[in-house]
Amino acid sequence: MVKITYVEHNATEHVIDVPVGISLMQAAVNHAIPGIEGDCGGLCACGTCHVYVPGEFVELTGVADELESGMLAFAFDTKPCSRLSCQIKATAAMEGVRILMPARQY
Amino acid sequence: MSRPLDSISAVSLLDGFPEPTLVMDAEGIIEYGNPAAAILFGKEGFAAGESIDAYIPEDERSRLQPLVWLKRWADSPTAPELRHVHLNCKTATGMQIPVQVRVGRLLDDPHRYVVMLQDIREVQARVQQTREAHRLAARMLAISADAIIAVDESLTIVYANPAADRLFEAAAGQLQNQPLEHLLPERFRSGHHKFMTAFAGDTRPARLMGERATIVGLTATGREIPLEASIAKITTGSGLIMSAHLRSPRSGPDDAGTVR
Repeated sequence: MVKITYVEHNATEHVIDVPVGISLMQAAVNHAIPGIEGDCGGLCACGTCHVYVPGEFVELTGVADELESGMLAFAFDTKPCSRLSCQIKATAAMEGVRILMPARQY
Repeated sequence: MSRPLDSISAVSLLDGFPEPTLVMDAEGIIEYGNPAAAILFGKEGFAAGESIDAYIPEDERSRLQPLVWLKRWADSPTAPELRHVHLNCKTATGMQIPVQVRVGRLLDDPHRYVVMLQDIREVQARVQQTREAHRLAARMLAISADAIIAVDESLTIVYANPAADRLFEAAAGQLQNQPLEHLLPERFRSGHHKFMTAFAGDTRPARLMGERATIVGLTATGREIPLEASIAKITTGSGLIMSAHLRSPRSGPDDAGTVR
């Protein structure tokens, strides 16, 4: 388990224990965290689990591959730090990571 | 007497097609739109040289380039994203309508694309209602003081809310996919299994607290705890799901120390 903080667009924070190996999207959905939808169930096929990863955590979360970058085209208000949280798997090194959520997924 | 099918032109077939359908070239210039497409876009017809960009404009807030995606989907007609993503098309009056899109290449002319559009406003509204209902239910489960556990027909835990984690002294997510019998002292497992099997085949959809004597649970740390339980069941597309609301008698509303 690692502690991950999800920060809603309105600055509301949710700190949850995420089992190592599951995606940050799945963990958010399991805890009913508002702002992450995950319509496709983690197939990297819908762009509705869009998050922003602050620069200091990019080394831990990695960067988007070509498939993910393509699907990010469907997400709203993307930034260079945008990721799809279904493609970020929790690792033991990710303790304390904070991810931010956009104002909308649709 | 009907004419032979092979004597009917492709355009005539497309004219009668009930789904809005466009034929465009590799640059996105619309060469044909059927009557259903004209109705969707609120037009009399399509003028020569019109671009698909006028009807499926780029979104201001996303980086989507429709022509790029139409070509990509033409190359991958079974792509999983086709089930989940949509494009917004723009009618003659400027109204935006979400459409699901299917794209194919003409077999004898790979530089021409057939684009089929489906108005998904009603589908989207139903999905939104379902999503909101799910979100509300998920929030209620998350804050429930009662422990709530759901199991499938094999009595494997498919859901446990945070109160269940706390009641059984388990870490978040630890109960998921565990056999239900792990939450029972060994001496009760056989009898409980028979009870659950009988309940699964029973015609009653639920049994409420008070209908059964207090049961005994086993926490992850090996502690035995008394519990009251209400149980319910529902048949879903993937089989029977049974759920239990569990409460420690000591922390229930009858406990004078907790009722205000």
